[in-house]
Amino acid sequence: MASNSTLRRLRRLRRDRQAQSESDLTYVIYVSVMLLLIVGVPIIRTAVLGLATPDVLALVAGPAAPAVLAAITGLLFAALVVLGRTRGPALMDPFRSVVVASNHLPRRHTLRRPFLVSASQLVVALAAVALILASALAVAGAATALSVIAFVAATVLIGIFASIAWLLGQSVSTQASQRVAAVLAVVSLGTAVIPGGLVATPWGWIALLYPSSAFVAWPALGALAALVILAAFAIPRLLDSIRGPELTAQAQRWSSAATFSATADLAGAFAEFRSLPTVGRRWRAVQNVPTPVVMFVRDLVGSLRSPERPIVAALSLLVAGFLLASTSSVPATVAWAPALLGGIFAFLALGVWSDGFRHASDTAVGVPLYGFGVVKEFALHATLPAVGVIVFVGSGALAASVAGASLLSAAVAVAFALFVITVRMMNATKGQMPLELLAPIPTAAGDLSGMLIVLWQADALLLISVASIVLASTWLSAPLLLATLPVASTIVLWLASRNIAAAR
Amino acid sequence: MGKSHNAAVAASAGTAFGVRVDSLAVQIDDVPLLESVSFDILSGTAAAITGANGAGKTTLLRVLAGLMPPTAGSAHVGDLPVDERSPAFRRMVAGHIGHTSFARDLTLDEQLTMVGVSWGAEVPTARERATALLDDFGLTRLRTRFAHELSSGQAQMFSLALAIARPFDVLMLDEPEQRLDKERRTQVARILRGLVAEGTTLLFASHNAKLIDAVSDRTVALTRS
Repeated sequence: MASNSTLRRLRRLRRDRQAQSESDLTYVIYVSVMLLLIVGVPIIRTAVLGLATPDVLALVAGPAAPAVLAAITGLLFAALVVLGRTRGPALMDPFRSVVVASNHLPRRHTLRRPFLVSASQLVVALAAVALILASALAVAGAATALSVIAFVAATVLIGIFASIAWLLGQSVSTQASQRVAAVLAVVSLGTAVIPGGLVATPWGWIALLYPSSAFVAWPALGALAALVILAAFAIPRLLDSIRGPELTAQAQRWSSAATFSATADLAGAFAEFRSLPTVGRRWRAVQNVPTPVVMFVRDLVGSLRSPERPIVAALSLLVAGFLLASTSSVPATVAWAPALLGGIFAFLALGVWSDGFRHASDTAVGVPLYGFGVVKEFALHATLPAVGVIVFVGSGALAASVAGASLLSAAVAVAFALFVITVRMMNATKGQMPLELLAPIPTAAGDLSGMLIVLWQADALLLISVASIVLASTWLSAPLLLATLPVASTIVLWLASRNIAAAR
Repeated sequence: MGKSHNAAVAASAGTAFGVRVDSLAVQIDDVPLLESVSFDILSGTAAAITGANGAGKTTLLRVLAGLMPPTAGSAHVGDLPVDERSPAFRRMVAGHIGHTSFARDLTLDEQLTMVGVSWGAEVPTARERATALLDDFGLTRLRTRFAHELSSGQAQMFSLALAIARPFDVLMLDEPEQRLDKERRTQVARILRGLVAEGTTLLFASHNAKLIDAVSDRTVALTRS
């Protein structure tokens, strides 16, 4: 085929270019193997042994585990369909994307390789997680070797199917991807709780293959294999239907984000992925109502103009509320895990409703634009996230209390999420990283400046992570936590005001 | 207007000053960003700051707007010493110096309305003012656009509109002609002259001789030794 010969010539040219050397590839392989041996193996071993402890085993080998796995797998599909619009699996660097977008070659040929690379990475990652989980169950005697093999094989198939879902997200419009994702999310949650629902969906089939000492559900594995083979026939058409401008825009966005990350500007990198408003330009964001309500409506309407962001934020806050409140209903030794996950979910979700803080912070350092004053402006912008926390974290926490968590822990979950808002405020006021941090710090163990940069960039997330784990500590009672969180919020707000003062 | 420079120089006692600068200088690590400068500007007049690149025009504006402290000398805006911590000072000075932060989720008319509301205007009044500003700056047909949908020239016009959407007595602009074509520069000159006629004290840095001539009552030339 003409396109194949052209592609072969292009690839040969690229392979033969001066900058490329065989030692580059050798070095990458060497580093990867060493990392796996020195870092990967101990982590995997610790994870397997940790999962095999009685407390954790009671959860992962419990009767609800397969249904939870089905729901998580379905939600993963939904997430990948959405992710495809931001970062699809068939993606290359900006230059090659422009070449591919503008030439005559069919995209089923030019984009096949990057798709296969991304799909392989996803499959390997999922298979590794499955292997760790299944190994732990086998070590604890809760699963047979055959069921472990079948489960890992099924995960590989699920990984391939998930890659195709990811590609689907890249090749359809934003609206279509959102609708598909919404349907997937609802169906996956529905089938996980409806009796017999696991038989009807691919994510249910992998749940039927969950490692156990019972017989392996071979028909489910066969059905998964047949489904993946059928879906694979759609790959060429999906690759062909990817739009050139989308491809180059994604490549450019990721390249810019990588540049921001390389210069330790994580806020800049995240900003690359913050979707711009697309709908509702005729909605009235500024209403004739009292000032606090004006700002709440302004932020709410502004947020709804990028609809996928508030939807993701609301769902994430629901999950965060459930997880944060669940710390009282899981064994004390593993309570830190839902607390940590819940804290991180809340922090990330509230980033969506922190646009007001970021704007207030930006305008605070210039000639005054708004007449509110900095403190009042921040306070007014806090109304929407606070309402979001009370409604969504509160609902998630109440759901957890219905499932066995205490009502007091539900109250702590809401109070903690309100504390996260103040951390978001502080994060918005950080400004540019001080240049001093880029200066090398030579030590016997090497240059430590990189560690300081990471600490500076991730300080808010680290603070939330530590605070979440403290939240799950048995030595802190719920009333004490409820009394402590306002104090912690006050300290964080004081730090935010210092940031603003320093930036002026 | 540019020909009556000397008429605006504040010399006589009892004159209302818009801006008073006395031996103002800025330097960082012995490197001067702004060499010592002194001048007065009458209230309700316009002064253009001129000088080569690096002469300190933006630095001077930033100091006068309270965005950076001087290393020597003093400055007053109206009767107030320059101090951005003072609410009265902040109420008095508006400007467009450097990058303007747009609200990414509001349309142009909503952003202008929001600025008005934040300074105490009723929403209908702020909306009327926003409509008038959009009209003045030739942005009416773009009123429901988001800021990221503007061209660079349109964004500059919108930045200027945002700067004057709030109440102020003294307006400071850094190269308002940036990225504007000839027609838009004339439009901006007309708007600025109108503001001065209404009593605004205007201080602007510019490299554009026609804009300087059309708007300013006097010039303050910065030099570098």
